[in-house]
Amino acid sequence: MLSVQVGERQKADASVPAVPAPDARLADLRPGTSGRVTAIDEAVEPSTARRLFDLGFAPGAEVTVLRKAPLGDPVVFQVAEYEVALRRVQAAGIHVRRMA
Amino acid sequence: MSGHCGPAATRTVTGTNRLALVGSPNSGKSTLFNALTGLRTKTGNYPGVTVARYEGTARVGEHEVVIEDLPGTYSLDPISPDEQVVADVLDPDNPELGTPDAILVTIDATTLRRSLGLLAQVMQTGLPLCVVLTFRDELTRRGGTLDVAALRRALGVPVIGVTSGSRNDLAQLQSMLLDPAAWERPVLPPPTDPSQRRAWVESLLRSAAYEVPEADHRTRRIDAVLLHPLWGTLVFFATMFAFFQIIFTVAAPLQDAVQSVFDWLGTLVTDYVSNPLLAGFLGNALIGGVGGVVVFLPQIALLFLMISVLEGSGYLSRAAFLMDRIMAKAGLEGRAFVALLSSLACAIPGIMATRSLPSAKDRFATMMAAPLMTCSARLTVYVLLTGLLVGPGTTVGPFGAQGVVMFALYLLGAVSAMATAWVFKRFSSRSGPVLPFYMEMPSYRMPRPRTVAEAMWSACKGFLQKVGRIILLVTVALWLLLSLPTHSDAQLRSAGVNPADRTAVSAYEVNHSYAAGIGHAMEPVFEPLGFDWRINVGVLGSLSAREVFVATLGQVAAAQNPDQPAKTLAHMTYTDGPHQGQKLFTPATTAALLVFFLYALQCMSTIGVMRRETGSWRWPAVAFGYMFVLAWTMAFLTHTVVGLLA
Amino acid sequence: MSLVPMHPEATTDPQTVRWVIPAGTLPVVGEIAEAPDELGKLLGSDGIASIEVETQAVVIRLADGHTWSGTGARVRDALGAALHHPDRWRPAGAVTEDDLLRAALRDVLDGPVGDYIRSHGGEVTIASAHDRQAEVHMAGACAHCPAAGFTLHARLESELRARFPDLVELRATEECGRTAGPTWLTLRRRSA
Repeated sequence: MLSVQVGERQKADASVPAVPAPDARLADLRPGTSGRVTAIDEAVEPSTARRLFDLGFAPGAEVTVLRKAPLGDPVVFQVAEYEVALRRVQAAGIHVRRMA
Repeated sequence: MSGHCGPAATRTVTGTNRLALVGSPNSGKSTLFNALTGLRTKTGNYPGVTVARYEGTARVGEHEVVIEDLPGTYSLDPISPDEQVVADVLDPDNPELGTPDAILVTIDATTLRRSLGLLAQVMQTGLPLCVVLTFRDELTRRGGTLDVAALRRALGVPVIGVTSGSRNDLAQLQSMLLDPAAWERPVLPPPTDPSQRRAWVESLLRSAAYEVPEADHRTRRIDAVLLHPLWGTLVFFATMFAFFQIIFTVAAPLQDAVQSVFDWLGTLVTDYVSNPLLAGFLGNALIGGVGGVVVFLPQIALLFLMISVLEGSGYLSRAAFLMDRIMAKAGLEGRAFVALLSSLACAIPGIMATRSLPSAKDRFATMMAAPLMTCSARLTVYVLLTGLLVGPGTTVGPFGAQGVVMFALYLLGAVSAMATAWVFKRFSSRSGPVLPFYMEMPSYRMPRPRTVAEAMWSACKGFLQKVGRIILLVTVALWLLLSLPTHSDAQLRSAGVNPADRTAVSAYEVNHSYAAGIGHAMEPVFEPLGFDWRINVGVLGSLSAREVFVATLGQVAAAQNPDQPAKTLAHMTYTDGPHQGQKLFTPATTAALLVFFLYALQCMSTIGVMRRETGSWRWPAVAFGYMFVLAWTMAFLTHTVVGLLA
Repeated sequence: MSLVPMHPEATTDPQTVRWVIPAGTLPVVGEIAEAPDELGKLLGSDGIASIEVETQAVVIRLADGHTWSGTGARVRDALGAALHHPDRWRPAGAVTEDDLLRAALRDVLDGPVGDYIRSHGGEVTIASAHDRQAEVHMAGACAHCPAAGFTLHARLESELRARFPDLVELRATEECGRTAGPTWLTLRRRSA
């Protein structure tokens, strides 16, 4: 169920502008916007979730989308005061609350 | 063999402290390792895994300290073989790898928040540890602050800030290394529970008055251009273009200089050595064989210069970022691009660069693909054969035909490498967990001349060692095989050769040498490709290193007509068999030979490094097997198609 | 629920550990008689000998026979939980707002600012702390110190305000004998 949702979001994202809802996946955020991590999706493998945590994508952390690669993927994020690139697949597994 | 793990594992000097160096990638760990150990390092392998082990000796006054540079890791919860090694080495309950006496943890001051997570895990081991704080100058430049004394108090372990290049900082650290038992220990190890850990990190950062460094504006500004959809792509292609331009055009005059030195040595031999056997040995085997290979030294030096400059500046990470989507088509990730790019220099650094890939599947797929990239050793063969295939004046449209053929060979190599990676990734039997893709984007930094110089030095040293050992040995062996047995005048006369005609004698002797016997024995395999016994001997000799092929053909040609070896090669004919008297290097055969060298794994060093990196003979065997089959098949197709067209 | 940031720091006494916490976490200072839940139990039983709250720390001394490597993790869990109930910490004696102010000022003077003054041969003491107003005496080499005056006073005051947000004012008087005047006036003008 969760993985289906992720797939749909990715497809929908390109054409339909994202509705500014407070809760989103990190992959939905546009460059220049920020979000606060609320949780790692349960569908994400535990080892991956653990690594995302170690990389700084821990609940409460502020993440800013910096830029996308010319081909749209991967995306550079600023988290915990440094910059890290993730693919959209990973970013879709991170729940965030949009920030102004 | 199971207990064998290289020279590194045999050291157990009592009284010498062993320290392990731990840190995340880009934390300045390797720079510190080099600064502490100089060039007193050796490489081994961890038993049973695909991870190379680096150890060095640091001299502090009269004493020595052994330092082990562990692979970079973000966490002690391993998800890759490299990280597993770090976890195993630091696990006091795992005595197999030898627990270090103490740990040095490098922490990038600009990523303190993230790094404290790894530090907390390392502190759980209970081993004495010392924090080495790197990139403080960068923190200051970016407007951040950090109270090192407060951090030290809060952590309860020694914290030493090092500014790279500062002898004082280094001396302070070195004096610490001698007595890790006296290092301050934390009153209590950090909490393991994630939310308690977070509270701990938060409290440390507060106490140390850690000010979040402002975004690195310089890096942001550079990235705005270098990662821009249009400009970034242009810069990327411009960089790659410059890369090849430098390898091929800047290197050329330097190579000519090396060549002229060997030419001069050759004339010395001709002028002063009268014994024909000795002259042949010196002129053909030593100067011709080895010299033909040493010519590539400038190219190798330039290649490593550029790769280490690109890496040190932070651009390689950007290149990997830009290429990730394209590499994903082959089932790989951006960092594999760096490995394949390095393989253009030589498959060995390329295979070693696969270490940065967290996924074992990606590593094997990349390792299998890397030897297909056109390395500088193939270049020697390509230059020789392309010259035989198309004349220097031939053009295709506005371009020189030789350049077009060369470009096609590079392109074909790259496409084949990607296809191979895709196949291996697809049918990889090793089903590990699907690993996430993540890659830190380091700030742009000026590459350190010392690091660049060290990379170039070790590459050139490795190359010259390869030349001095394998290539020299094989060249001499081939010379012997080509020159022996000798024939008496009576034997020559009975075979209808006039002993006074030097050219005829050389030709007869080569055609009846031991090498000819071996070459003829290989004919059933290579005849369909149009190869004759001389090419077969060259192919056999080039198993050691591709450059030997050039040297062998040079020797054969020189033996048959010592005065004009280059012209001889072009007009060489089949000495026997159904095609006797016909031209040997027809377009079909030459093209087949080019394609054969494009695919075949004719390189002992590559096989050796694959063995070292994977810890078994299985993967080098797989690589050699699949590449030979591919090479033969593709060469056969080429021979047939070009034969029909011509 | 996110936990209160805290970490342990060693003291000269191996039985005693300073748990550093953010200023203002607890509304009490001084010797603690009663603490919430598990921490209270440890204090009541023979595990913890004493708990003393400072402005930015909880100083815990283990009873003899206990070690931090042994019971440390348990004390940490108990302390982390207890910090979520600041209203249930009972001091041994009555704690007034003046006590909190004085402790906060003590904490400032024991910290980096105080170290800075002392390292320059100066001396700073608490003159008074009541009704959200505090006064310190500065003495010694202050007159020769270029940092004395405006910046030093501003720093002292902002550090104190961070620990005691209800601060009305901090006065600094200098007793450097021969050149007290101008500096004193500078400080005075700023704080008035």
